Amino acid sequence: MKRKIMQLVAAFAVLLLAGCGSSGDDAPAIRFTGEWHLTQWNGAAPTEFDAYVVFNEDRTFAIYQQIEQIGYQSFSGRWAYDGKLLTGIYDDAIPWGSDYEVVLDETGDVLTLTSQTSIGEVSVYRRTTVPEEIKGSAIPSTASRTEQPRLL
Amino acid sequence: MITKKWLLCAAILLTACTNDAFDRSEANPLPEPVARKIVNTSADAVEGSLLVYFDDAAIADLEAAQTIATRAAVPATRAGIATVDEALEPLSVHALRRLFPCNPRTEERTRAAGLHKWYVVDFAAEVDLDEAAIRLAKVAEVERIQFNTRMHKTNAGDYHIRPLKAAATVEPTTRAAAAPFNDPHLSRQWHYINAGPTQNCPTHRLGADIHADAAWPIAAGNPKVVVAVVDEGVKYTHPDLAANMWTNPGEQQNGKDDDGNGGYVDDLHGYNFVTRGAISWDKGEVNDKGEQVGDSGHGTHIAGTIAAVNNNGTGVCGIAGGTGKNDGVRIMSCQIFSGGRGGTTDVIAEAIKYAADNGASILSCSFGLKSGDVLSDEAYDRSFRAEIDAVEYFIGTKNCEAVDGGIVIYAAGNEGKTPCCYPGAHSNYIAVTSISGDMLPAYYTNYGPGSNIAAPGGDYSISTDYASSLILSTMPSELNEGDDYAFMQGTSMACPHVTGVAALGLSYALDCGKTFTVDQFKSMLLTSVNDLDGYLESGTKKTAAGTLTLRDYRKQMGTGLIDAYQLLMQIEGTPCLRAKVGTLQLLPLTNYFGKSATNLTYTTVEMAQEEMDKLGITERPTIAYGKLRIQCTKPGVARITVRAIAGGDKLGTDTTMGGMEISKEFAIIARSVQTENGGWL
Repeated sequence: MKRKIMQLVAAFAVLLLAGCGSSGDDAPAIRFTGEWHLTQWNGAAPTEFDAYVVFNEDRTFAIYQQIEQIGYQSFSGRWAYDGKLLTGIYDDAIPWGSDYEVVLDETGDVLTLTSQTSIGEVSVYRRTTVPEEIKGSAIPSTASRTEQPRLL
Repeated sequence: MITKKWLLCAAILLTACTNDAFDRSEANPLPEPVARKIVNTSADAVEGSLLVYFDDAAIADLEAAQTIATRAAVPATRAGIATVDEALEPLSVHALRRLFPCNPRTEERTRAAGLHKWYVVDFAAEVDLDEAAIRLAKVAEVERIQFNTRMHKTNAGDYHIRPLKAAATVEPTTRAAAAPFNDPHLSRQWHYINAGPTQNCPTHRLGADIHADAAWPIAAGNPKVVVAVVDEGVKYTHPDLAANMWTNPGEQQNGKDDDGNGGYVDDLHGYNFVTRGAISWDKGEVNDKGEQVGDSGHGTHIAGTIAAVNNNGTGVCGIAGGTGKNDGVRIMSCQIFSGGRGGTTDVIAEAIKYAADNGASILSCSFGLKSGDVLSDEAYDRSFRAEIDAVEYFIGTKNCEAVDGGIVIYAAGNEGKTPCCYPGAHSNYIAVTSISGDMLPAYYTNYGPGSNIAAPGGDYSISTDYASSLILSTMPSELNEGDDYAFMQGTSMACPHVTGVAALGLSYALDCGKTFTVDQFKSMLLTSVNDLDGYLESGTKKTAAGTLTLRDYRKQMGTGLIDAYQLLMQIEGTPCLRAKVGTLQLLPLTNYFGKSATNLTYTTVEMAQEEMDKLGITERPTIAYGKLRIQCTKPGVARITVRAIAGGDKLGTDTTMGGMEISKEFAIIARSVQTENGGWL
């Protein structure tokens, strides 16, 4: 119950932040909207998994990831940035696993997100268009590829 | 006379001292080195035939003698070696021929495997077989003698063959509407898509099938995959098989060996190794007891399960039968049973090598010895040397871009006994047990050590409605009251379900451009399963053979029930296993070892120190309660290898029957960022 309340509070906070952003108070000097591909995670190229993140101008986001499942899975939700930390919440009211410190390089093409967890995860993204075949084939996180339920 | 008494003593000793009916190693009164050379006994052996393996020194003379005979257009009857010919002299030899005929395209590989040194001696049937073997074993140039023993279709006579028209019901036993094909009788193939309980069979369980409905939209076959049905002849003109028959590209129907592949004349769709001629399927024969011993339609039924043509508006579906666009896998008929004859070592070994030399990458073998005839790999390896050599050659031959060798699949046997029968029980081959539509063991299935995986094989005792209880597939109308389709049951029918799924897997691997080793592919196949053991905790099943105590079958049926969809998913790729940093966890291995993962017996967890360091692991990961017990202290990705036993709780060794080792290597991603829904951020 407590967790649920926290999630609702977080959702509310994000909506508030999103509301502020849309009023023209464009707090972030960093323009990280766009489509990004994870190229490095904790100092190494992610050869075993893959992730694309899309930050839209309207403060919505989409993730296309292939980690624990075969084929790409998609997630969506809303993001907010207060000039210091990037936060977000998924459409199913689950907040991101962490807030992130954001660094965009001079070219504007390399984005580094550092998680605010006890041991920080450093993810480096390069600005890249998400391939259409990935967008088209990704399974929404709430769906299952197996259409027939297996009562086993 | 003395020799006869000696052999009688040997027979008594053999009966008393060993359970391996074909193994003469434990009690052999013959002097060394003669005894060592004779690898099996004459029990159930063909009269007037011996298999002889010569040493290197003899080969040149033997081949010279063969060449001379070939030029004279007569069979060779002499070896061209004085000592050998002296031993052959009293046998009235009809022919001395290579067991594996020379195929110029594959001769180099054949010689590298030593197969060119196997010869068959055909001689007068009235000559005492044991005496003949001893005579030849005394010759220095002879390395081994093997009696030409018989294997049997898995329990012929108990298939409960019923024509399709005998099915009483029109009630569908399949959620056929869930499948993308229009074959009218798919509605009676519960073994592909089980509809669950029906009026005629209330014990049916949803999911007691191979999960074809989910697999077919992803893959349905590929003509580059060739499956050899080593069995009775396949009716290659069958309306639901003809389009998916393998066709030898260099051969014509003209009474000649056009492609020069070893003297096989007109081998357009395979070959009849029993008669050394045209494939046949309709030679019914009755023995002196009035029993049907001839062709039963066994091979045609098996072929249909693997690759009956799909979506052709006709008949039934096959697991890898394509989509109706000439895209099914191809069936090669390697006929080893013909009209009540065959099943002998020479025929089986030659057929398997032919399959390797002509493009097959999977063998479907629904035959074997009896349960208990052979009780260890070591005994089988020693007594069935020619078969072993041929199968090893097949496994070592790459005929499909998706896998670096051959996959060999056998039936477990139909005697309702433990252990599984050889050759399937061999730890290098896959042995298939049988379940019925109630997700429970069929009454006849062999089980226990040597069994690797289960598949639907039917069980007539669960319903009087054949469409609910038996396996529906193609059948020669000549043997089936004019009907092209029939129901059957047996591990003989379960075996081609695994074969078909394996063929589907190779098809999809080709589509995806993926390549695997034979061991990798076998590991994927044997872990693409749904759990059976959960249904075998307690209770009984009433069957035609009495009441089965289900607990007796727990962990004895193999890894679980084959699932085609899971195999295709494994072929697509192995996902990461997510772990949380800072927490001691038990992680499920379902993605890697199938839905039986918690019930499998795991042997080792291997993780190099360097990989452990990547995740800050200080205590080596282990398996607990069927899950991976691991504690990571920093984020990262590392690789781990987990090994398990496919079938039972102990590995087969040379001397003890048991399961096959399977292994999976996968990546663990440890994260400090954790979300409930698994999202990346």
